[in-house]
Amino acid sequence: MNSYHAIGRNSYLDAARSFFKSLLETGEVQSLLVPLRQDRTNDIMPTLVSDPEDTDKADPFSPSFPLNSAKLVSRLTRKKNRKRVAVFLRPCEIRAVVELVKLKQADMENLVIISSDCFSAFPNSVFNTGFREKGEEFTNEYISARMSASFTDDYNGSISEACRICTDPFPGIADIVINPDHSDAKQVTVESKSDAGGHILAQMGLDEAEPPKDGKEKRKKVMEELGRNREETFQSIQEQTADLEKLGVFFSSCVNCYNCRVACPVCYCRECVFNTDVFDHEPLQYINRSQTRGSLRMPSDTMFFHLTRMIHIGLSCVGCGQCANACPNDIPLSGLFMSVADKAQKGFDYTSGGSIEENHPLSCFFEDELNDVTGI
Amino acid sequence: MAARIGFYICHCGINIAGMVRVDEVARYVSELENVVVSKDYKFMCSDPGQEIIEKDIKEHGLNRVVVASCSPRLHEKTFQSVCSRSGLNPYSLQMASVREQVSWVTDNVDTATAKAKTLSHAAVNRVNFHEELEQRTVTINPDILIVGGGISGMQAAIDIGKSGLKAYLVEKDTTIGGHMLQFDKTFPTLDCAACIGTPKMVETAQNNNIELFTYSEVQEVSGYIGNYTVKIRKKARYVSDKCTGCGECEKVCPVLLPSEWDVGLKERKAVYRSFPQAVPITYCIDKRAQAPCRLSCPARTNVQGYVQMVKAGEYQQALNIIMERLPLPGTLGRVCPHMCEDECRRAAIDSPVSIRELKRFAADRGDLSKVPFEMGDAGDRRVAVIGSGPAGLTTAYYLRRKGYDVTIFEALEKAGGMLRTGIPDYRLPPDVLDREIDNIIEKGIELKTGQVLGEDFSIKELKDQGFDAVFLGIGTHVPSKLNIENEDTDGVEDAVLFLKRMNLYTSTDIPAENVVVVGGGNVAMDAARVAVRAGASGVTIVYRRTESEMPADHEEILDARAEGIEFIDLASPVRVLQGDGGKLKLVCIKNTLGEPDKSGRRRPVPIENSEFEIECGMIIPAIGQKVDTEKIIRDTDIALTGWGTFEIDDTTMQTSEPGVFAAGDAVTGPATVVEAVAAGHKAVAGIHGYLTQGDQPDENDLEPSGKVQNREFVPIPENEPPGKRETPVKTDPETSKRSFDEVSKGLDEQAAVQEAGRCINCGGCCECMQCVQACQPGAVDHGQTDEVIEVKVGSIITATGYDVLDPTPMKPYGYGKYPNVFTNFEFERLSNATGPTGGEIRIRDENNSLTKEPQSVAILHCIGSRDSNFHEYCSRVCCMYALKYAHLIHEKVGHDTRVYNFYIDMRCFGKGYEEFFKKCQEEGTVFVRGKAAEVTRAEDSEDGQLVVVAEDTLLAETIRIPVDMVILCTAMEARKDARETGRILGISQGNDGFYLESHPKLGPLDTATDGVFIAGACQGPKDIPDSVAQASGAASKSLQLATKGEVEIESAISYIDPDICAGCMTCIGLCPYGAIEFDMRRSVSVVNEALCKGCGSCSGFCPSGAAQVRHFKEKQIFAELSGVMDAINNVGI
Amino acid sequence: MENFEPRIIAFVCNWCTYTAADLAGTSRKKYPANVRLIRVMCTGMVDPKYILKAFLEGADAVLVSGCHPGDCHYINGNFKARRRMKLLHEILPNFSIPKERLRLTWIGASDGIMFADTIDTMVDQVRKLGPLNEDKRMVI
Repeated sequence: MNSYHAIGRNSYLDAARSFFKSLLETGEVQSLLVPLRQDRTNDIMPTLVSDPEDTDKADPFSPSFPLNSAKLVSRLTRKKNRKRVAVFLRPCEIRAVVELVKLKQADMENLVIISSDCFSAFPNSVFNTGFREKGEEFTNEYISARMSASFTDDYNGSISEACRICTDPFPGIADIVINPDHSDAKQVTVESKSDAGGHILAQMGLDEAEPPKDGKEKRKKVMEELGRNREETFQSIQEQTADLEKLGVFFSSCVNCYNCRVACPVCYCRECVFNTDVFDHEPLQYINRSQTRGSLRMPSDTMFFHLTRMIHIGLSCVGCGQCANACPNDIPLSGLFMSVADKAQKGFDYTSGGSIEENHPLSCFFEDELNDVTGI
Repeated sequence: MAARIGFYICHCGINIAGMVRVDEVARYVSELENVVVSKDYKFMCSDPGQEIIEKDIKEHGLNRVVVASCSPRLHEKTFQSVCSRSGLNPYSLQMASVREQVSWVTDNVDTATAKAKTLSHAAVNRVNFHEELEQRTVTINPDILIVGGGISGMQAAIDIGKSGLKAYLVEKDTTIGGHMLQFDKTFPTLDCAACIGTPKMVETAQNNNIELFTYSEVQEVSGYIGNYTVKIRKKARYVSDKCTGCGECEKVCPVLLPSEWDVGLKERKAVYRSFPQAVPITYCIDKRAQAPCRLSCPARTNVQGYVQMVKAGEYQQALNIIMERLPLPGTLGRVCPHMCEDECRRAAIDSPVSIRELKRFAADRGDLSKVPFEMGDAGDRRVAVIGSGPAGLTTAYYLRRKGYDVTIFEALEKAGGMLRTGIPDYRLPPDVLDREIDNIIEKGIELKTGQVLGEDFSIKELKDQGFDAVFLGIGTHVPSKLNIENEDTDGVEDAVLFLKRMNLYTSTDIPAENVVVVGGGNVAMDAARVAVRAGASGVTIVYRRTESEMPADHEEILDARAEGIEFIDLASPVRVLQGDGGKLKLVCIKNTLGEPDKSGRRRPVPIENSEFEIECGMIIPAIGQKVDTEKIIRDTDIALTGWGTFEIDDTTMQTSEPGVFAAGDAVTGPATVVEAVAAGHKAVAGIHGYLTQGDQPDENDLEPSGKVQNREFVPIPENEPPGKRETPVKTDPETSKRSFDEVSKGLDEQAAVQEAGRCINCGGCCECMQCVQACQPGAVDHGQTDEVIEVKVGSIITATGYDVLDPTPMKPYGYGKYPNVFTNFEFERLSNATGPTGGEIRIRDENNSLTKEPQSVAILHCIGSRDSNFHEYCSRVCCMYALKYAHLIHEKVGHDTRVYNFYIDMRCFGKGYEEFFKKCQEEGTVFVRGKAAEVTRAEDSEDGQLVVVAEDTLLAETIRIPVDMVILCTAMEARKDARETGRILGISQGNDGFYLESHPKLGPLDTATDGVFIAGACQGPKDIPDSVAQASGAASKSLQLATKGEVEIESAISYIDPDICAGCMTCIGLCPYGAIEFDMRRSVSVVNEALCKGCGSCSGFCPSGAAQVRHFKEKQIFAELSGVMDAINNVGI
Repeated sequence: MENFEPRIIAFVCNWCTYTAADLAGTSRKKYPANVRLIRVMCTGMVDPKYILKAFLEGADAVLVSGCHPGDCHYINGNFKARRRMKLLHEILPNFSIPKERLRLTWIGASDGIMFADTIDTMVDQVRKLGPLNEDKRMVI
């Protein structure tokens, strides 16, 4: 099933682009969703490409990560249709898709997933000030730098918190994986990870290549390094949010804009309960409550909202960090949510985005289990 | 419009007001938002109380009502109807439980008052958000299900039947009647249970509105009040309702089992009827799990069947049964290694039944020509069977029976394969073999001898000649080599070839000197013993392991020894030396045993320079055989395994060559005859499948009938005395070794019948089919299977009754230890005219049969009742039946009989009970107040066999009373399966195990599940009058529903807001009632209101709150919560 | 700390624990007045939000109690509740809301005494833990 190929061009990007081009040319997929450089602005946005020629602006390896494309995949696949779509996703985006599939918000039947070992991303604010305008040269430069240096080395402090403590930057479930080549700065290696992927690559007539040797060690090293980062971050988060009062301080600048929820790929509700009538209180209630308690911080229900989100997405959180990315007041949400998610998922020994077969822990139960939960 | 709330707090006399300052609470609430009136009153639930609310609703235009009083579980309905009466929706009400949750559980007025305020505040807050729900009613299916056919069940059924409505009565036993019909007389009126019980049974059976399901169980109940769907499993009875109850089947049935109806005091047949007046009269065949002997037989021979036939003297039928699976009965009766005997459960008592000998006996007595052989029709399809060994013969015989046109090709001049060439005559006389082979051939099979596959014909040719299928049963006739130096010297002859020439008499010469046989299998034993008979002066068997590892049958080894054959074990041959004068020397090396190998036997390890020589005239290696495939391979490319045997599909027995099948040694390598026969059956199935449906073989060819799932073996009888295992007569070794005459003479008739009698009938019915022949109406059908019937009913009456406690664990009372300690049920049967003694009260004599009249009897009360170690409750009926027994004993055995009652308290509470007590006292029954402590064997000084030791609490001294008979009045307890049944029917159990009624006083017939009622002893110990009364009560409850035709059901059920639902479908998986469907078009989940019961499994998960339970919406719960907390902030906790 | 009176909110199912509470009442079994029952039809309908709300509104502890395994009036609601409680037990301790403050118990309809005892023990435990210091200004 696993076949390896190499594509050489003038640069990593060219090589990658030629891959995407010939992918569309095979006709195996009708369209391709891939990060694409927008004219003039240089913003890199997921774009659904159907004309092979348009792939010449694809920029999959840039550290720009404006949003988690899983939500877009949901839009593309939620209802069954016969068209086949290929999508280029970061590993965390794939995990989110897997969770959405379990929640019937996405479907993999006509989906071809292409991914690469993740080079991490910058927060939007960082990328948009200083890196965006550099254009695609920066992408090549960035990749080379990241490849030579330690994979997880924080590119002079600009890599987002979520990426620094990523749970797994290597694609688990994917049909095709495309990676810049260590040895040669002008070529990419393409690997098929599924029969579907293999079938498609076969159509493209690429030259065979040797599987990368150092793969395993590299991954091990990276995972260890990320593990250490995680421990540190979780530690400090713990201290900052040790009790409800501290948690209050942590959220004190929250304005209930709910951007974090909008950005979250696994917050799948069509309408958030916090927007439903359950939470539009009678004017009088505010005043009563303020009277009985002396004062009432507004907007209210802030902590309620965040705690509820932890309950709702703790088990599905894929650690993409878009919540933090979206926060107008820079509350470091990703660290907090990832540490909570870590505990929740360990508790059910469940890995979000791990596999389609694994049931969401709250969607099933057994008669004889968790006996430690009860009793007094 | 804004809420206008009326608040009312109830004093409940002083129940609430005594601990809560109700006026203060009322004042507190009056301050709250939207509260229009706030009052307190002595008894809100009283008429004036209710009127206050009604009046206020009108005067103040209230649209919400809060009542703070007792638990809503008591009066919610009351106050809801107050609302309805005044034109409000019943769901405009909220209650605060300030009695159960405040005044009764708090001992401080201030805290109580504060708590009452918080609860009231919460209720007021909540009621603000109450919504109007429309009442939902469902129509009631008028049909009614009754579970249990005892006196309660029958009574309920009759009442319903008489009302003209339909009743389904499900009884798990083969007859209705229940425990009551097992009794003799009934207290206190002493009319006989049968006299008043059987008419009830008949009435039940004859009422056209009652549909009876006996020998059936309720398997699944789904739905809700008024609309239950019930799955009833009708267990296979194997006798259809054509049965006239004539009992001919019972006469011929050979299988005896203890009768449950007579609690083991009597035996019944495997085809039985509980008692003569049983309803329905239809007999029932007691089939259990298939007997282990039958299961362990590779050919699945109905062992129990033919053993029973031998017992019954039906030898021909025994043979017929054997021939169903074994075409060579006499042969297998002699040479089968009888795996069946290893599994025989009789071994648990003494030793296994000599099954093989019984098979031989049947074969020798029966007449092959009389064995029925009904041929099927297979058109003119032709099958070639190559090889006439056991596999070939089996395949040929049963294919022929299916109607195929079969031709057997045999390489030798005579048919029989290894049976002929491999097994010496003294074990298997040729005439036996000939007789059985002839019988097979006579069925119209063509036998071509002297036809060698690969020389005289090829598989391809056969196909060209129009054979539709070919079967290869060519066995293993090529000897395996020893692989030692000059093993090819003459004087070295392999056992296979040696036995072959001896058995076929081609040449029988053999050097009159020492002969060495190498090997430890049956072939080695045969070769050695043949050599002895052929006149070898001495025979030695050399084996590389020790005797305990020898693969040969133990008997064979013993016989060989007996015939003077020497054994040298732990030795392996290393080379053959040419001695002087044509003599041979076999050089061997000694072994020790090392680690176990794959076969689990320890592998021999040679000991350095321990070589030694054996002088001999002949060496016979007997270490195994191989298939001779070379010739065949020439014209076909049939795939072979690493062992050189044929590679086949395990289910179809087909080789790699389509239409070519194989079985027997040629597939398995050297194995037993019965395994070859078994494989033959598989091949028949495979070939038949291939030639008919062209696919999978037919189950029945592999596993003939008698398959009964999920039933247990007949338990091993407890007091069965150990007996001796009959073994065949054998000619003494000295004579036998001189001739080729058969050594074993088998069992004589008396021994055989005796031996067959030792079978304990593990499988219940033995499927000898005698009953089928005996039954004129043709009602018996052994092929019957359980069927599941679905009925729809509106309500269910549970009358599953009780079990009787088993006193065996109560060691001091000696039940099971002393033969004359009886349980109350055993006494009922003893005293019953249809019982084991025909109604005469007798005790066990020396040889354990019920003949002796008791001179003195002790009746022990409260065995397991009022006993913290067993049941704390009183079983309520024991005192009375104890009195009844006392009376019956005096009446039947004689008034001079001494009868003692050992009681704690006499509880004669019922109508006419006390009078009956008095009467018995006058009859001279002795009443000892004190629970018996122990029953022991009497000492010589005391007359009677037993002594009851007790403390007479009135005399305050320990007394010993010698008696002949002791009766234990054991407790009534909940059915063993009460929990399981309860789950199916949705009834919970109380701590005592009996079913829990909805209210101990006011709801004795209702349960937690609407439309499911309980009656009789399943609810608690009860006597007949009470049970009957309850039954009629339950019946009228069901009739109420049925006649009203509709009932109001829960309005507080789930609703999923389609504008919010994201369609994740998680709720669908969580709903226990499958009440949520997915709307593909809108891709949202939708609640099916008919099925939803409002448990909220969906709302508990739904993150967006799209799924909500009406009346328990988030907003309402939150309001209640905030109310509580605000109030606590105001008034403290 | 001595005069601290814990505030306990209990979500109890109508068929088992609420009935048990009634039984405790009818048998006049006294227990601390620190608990407030909120009746739900089944523990399976207790949304974790209810529990968060209770804590944020100022409860020092929350009890969720339903039917014994196998006795659930709605077949298996209690098992679903157990999973949700498990999740809360993984998350809330991060913010100093230990398991002692969030209990799940099975109390059957006939366990009146057990209900009272449960409240007793729980009140003691929470009294030892002291008040739950929550920022009450952020919730309604």
